[in-house]
Amino acid sequence: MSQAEQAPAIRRILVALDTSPNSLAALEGAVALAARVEAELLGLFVEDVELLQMADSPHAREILYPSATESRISRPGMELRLRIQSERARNALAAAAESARVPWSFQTMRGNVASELMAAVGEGDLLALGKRGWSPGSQFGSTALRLATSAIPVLLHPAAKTSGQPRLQVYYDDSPAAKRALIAAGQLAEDGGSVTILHAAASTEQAQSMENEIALALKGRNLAIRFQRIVPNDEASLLRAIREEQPGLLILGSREPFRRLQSLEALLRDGKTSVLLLGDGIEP
Amino acid sequence: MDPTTKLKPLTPEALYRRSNIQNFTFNTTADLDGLTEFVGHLRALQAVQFGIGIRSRGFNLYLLGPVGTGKYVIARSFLEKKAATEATPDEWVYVNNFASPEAPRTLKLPPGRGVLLREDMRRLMDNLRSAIPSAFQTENYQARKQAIEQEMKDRQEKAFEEVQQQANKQGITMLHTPTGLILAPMRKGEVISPQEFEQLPEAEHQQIEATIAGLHEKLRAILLQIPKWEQESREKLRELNNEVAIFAAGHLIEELRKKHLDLSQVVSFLNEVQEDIIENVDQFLMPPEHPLAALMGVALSNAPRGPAFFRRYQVNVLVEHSSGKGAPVVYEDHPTYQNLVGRVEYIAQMGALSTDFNLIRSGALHRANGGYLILDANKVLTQPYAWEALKRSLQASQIRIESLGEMLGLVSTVSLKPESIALSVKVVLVGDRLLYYLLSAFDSEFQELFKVAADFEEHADRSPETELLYAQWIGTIAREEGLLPFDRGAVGRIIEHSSRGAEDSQKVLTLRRFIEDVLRESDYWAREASRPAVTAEDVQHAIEARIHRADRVRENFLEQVVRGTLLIDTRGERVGQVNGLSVITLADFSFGHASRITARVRMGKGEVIDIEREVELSGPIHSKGVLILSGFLGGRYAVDHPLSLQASLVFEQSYGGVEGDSASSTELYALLSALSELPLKQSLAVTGSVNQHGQIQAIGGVNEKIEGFFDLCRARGDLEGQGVLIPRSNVPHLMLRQDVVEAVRAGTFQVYAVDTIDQGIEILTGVFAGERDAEGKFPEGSVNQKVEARLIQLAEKRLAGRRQMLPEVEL
Repeated sequence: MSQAEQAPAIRRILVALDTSPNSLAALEGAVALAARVEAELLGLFVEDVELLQMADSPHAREILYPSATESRISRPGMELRLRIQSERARNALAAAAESARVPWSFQTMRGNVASELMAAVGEGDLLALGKRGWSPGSQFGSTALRLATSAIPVLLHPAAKTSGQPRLQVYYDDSPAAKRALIAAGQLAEDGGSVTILHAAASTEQAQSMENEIALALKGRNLAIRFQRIVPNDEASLLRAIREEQPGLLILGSREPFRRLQSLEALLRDGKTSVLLLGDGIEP
Repeated sequence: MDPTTKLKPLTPEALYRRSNIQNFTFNTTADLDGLTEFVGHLRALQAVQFGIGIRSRGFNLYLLGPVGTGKYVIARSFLEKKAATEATPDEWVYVNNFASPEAPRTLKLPPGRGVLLREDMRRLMDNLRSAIPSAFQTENYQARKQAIEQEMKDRQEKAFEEVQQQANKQGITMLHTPTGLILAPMRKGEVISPQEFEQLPEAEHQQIEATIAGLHEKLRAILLQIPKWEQESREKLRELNNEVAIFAAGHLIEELRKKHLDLSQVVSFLNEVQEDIIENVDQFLMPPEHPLAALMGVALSNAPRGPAFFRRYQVNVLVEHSSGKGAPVVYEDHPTYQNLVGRVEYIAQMGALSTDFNLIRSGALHRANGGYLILDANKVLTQPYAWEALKRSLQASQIRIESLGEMLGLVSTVSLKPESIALSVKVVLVGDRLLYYLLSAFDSEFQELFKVAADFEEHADRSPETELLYAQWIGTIAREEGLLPFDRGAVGRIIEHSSRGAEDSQKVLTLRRFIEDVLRESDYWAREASRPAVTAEDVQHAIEARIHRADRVRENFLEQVVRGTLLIDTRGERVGQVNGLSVITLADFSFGHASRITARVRMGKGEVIDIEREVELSGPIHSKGVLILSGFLGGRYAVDHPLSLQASLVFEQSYGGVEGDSASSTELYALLSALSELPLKQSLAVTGSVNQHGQIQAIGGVNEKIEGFFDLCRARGDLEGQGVLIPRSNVPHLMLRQDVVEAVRAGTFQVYAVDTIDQGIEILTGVFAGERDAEGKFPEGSVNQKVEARLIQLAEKRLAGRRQMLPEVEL
């Protein structure tokens, strides 16, 4: 097995926390995953330097929720609010991790949010984050967008908390990245559990060949393997197949199947499927 | 002249009236039918029947009479017979008042329907608690709910995205703070720092600020719209929830409505339940509560059963009559305020008290509503506020449950105010006579509310018919109590003992308790002797054993007399000294006791000094008796001259109080002896009161007094003709012990029945009393002549003395 096909080893899960509903949902998914793979949790709170800069500006105004009143902002005031937010994030992490008996730590950083998070990810790390932070809208937030398009492994969680045990789904197209996703799925699946393989085969023969390969790759694991054939390079076909088994955890070796970010956003907007993007960052 | 030739002692037959057991045709009471009526009490029974029969307002009953007459048993027996023929009353339930939960509502339901409704509601809730969540978990509901939520979300996001796009086009970005939004100018994808911003030309400053101001306005408009959108979304969700709730619950409630269609109250209640369920459908969707709710780690084990919210749909059956056995007959043996009118209970949870309509508890009035309630008058009156509550309920014909604190205005915290319940009950109070007369005199409402008095007589005339009824009564009680049957002799002895208890040979007691005690104790001794039936011997054994258990004090008295500590002569003669008789009662045992009464006379101003009264050891009746003596002396002996004596009377060796006038004749005998200086026979004892004309009047405790002197003489071993003088009017009361009767038969003890003082003094002195002749003089040598002569002598001496002291004053 080439290096590109080897299974990622998740030793630590970093959770980007800003106390928004999305980030808390991501925390829940991260805790569940950490408990399953016996990884550590590291909560990260980034004090957005842009906010602090704006607080220095004498002209900056803040529109307050939910009254829509306008207020002047100051640097000490902004720092205080960020400290409070950081403390809330820490408390949320502590409560979730301790209830699942997962070892945890917490770190507050200051800088550009995406840059700081990317910088914090190291070898064997997986970064969990919500689709977007506090900003409204259905699309990816700027931070999520940067991370989802980077090479680092990320766990993107839908907007809301999922209910029930997610079903493992793996996109498989015979590529090295897909093979890594397959192996990761084998590691994440519980003994006696099931995995659904969404294989993009152009023909029946190719499909059969892929199934044989997959069966061989997962040989020895006590797993129920279900195959679902999808049309290669057809995002709509992929989305339909994914939505048939919700709630789910979709494992992707790379972002390749979702060439358009909107498709990934639509999937996450359903609120029923998390996406584990292994990326290229995890080295054996 | 020998006065004993004039007045003979009573014959043994006059001292004891035997039962006519030869008239009994049974061997034992086992041969007799049970008694279906009650011995005596005819007047009371007629009153009870009238009181029970009449249904008008205020015709409640008061059964009065001594303790032990069986008033309660009789009342219960009558009431149960009557109640069994009457209609079973309706049931009452409390249900939640959904509009005002602090004022629970009542439903009046036919017998058995209250319990049925309670069970129906319990099942309905069980069904709804699974049906409603199931309905809300369907894909259909979830999809519609998600659509509503997503619509709201999309609306917000779209609005913000539009502003964001406008902002981006104008080089402005939206930064999100923990508390709101900031609009910041950008340059090359980065927020412009304050320093860079300051370096921009003034015109650009103004343009950026104007752009930001415009965007601010748009954002503010969106933020102000959000609550409205949320409200619209909530309203849509509520309509969806209502639709699903009606779908899930409506048909189940409709089934109940059809089942209880004949009861409009229930149908109306079910309509309210449906509305409330729809209003509170969220509660059905919450996860089930843990059986032991806990707060801060402390288990709330006293929490009301069932999840707290769903208690509002329960039915609290206050009174049920599922068995449908006619009207209820209730006896409340602990008639406290709350046990009468009911109460609202509270549950303590972490120091706080809470309650709801399920914790309303019924009182005796609720249980007896539509029937009869028997209460002990004394208990009702001694329980704080119970009497007032009972009267108030009867006057208002309704039962209102309120705590004592509320009633007295001491508590003003919010609690339940249950709807009042219409009351229709006949109350039967059982109590003693004194209480009845006191209530009649001092409680103006009593006569209005208790118009029927049933006065239970403790005595019945003793006739052959009564004796047979008595035998049946004994047999009935023996059967009820599981006692051995009583043979004829035993029955006869019990009847005789009952007459003794009544202190009248012409009467028998009708006190059930008295008879029951004798029967039980006789049964015990019969069983000890392994007899198949109780005999007269066992009854006698029981009577004697009972006396023996109680007569420690009597024996002490006798011992002190025998040892000479208490000075009582039973032989010889003494001037101015006579044996009086009194009765001592300790608990339910009475015995006679002899006392030495002495009199001394000297010249004086016509005063008879009662030493007991002087030292305040006599009661008013005793003092009255002594004053009557002065009237007698003056009227008989000192009509023409002043009564110039001073006499002192005393109960020797009496250190306790003296009450009653039964010793007034005794004191007069002592006084006459002192005046005439004729000695009195100490072998005789005397009892009886006297009036101003010298007539001897009846007294109480005659049997005990005779037996007391008999026991004293026998204890000394000198029964040789001693005896007792009693008023003749007491002869019908004689039911003496057999040993006394036998002594009289043997001539070693005598009982004289006297009508006048003259008869008595003749027996006591052996000297004839004497009557005034045509000239108004007593015969020479008679008692009366000697008394008069002495009084004249005293008067003359006093007159002479006063002349000597005041010669010029005409006296």
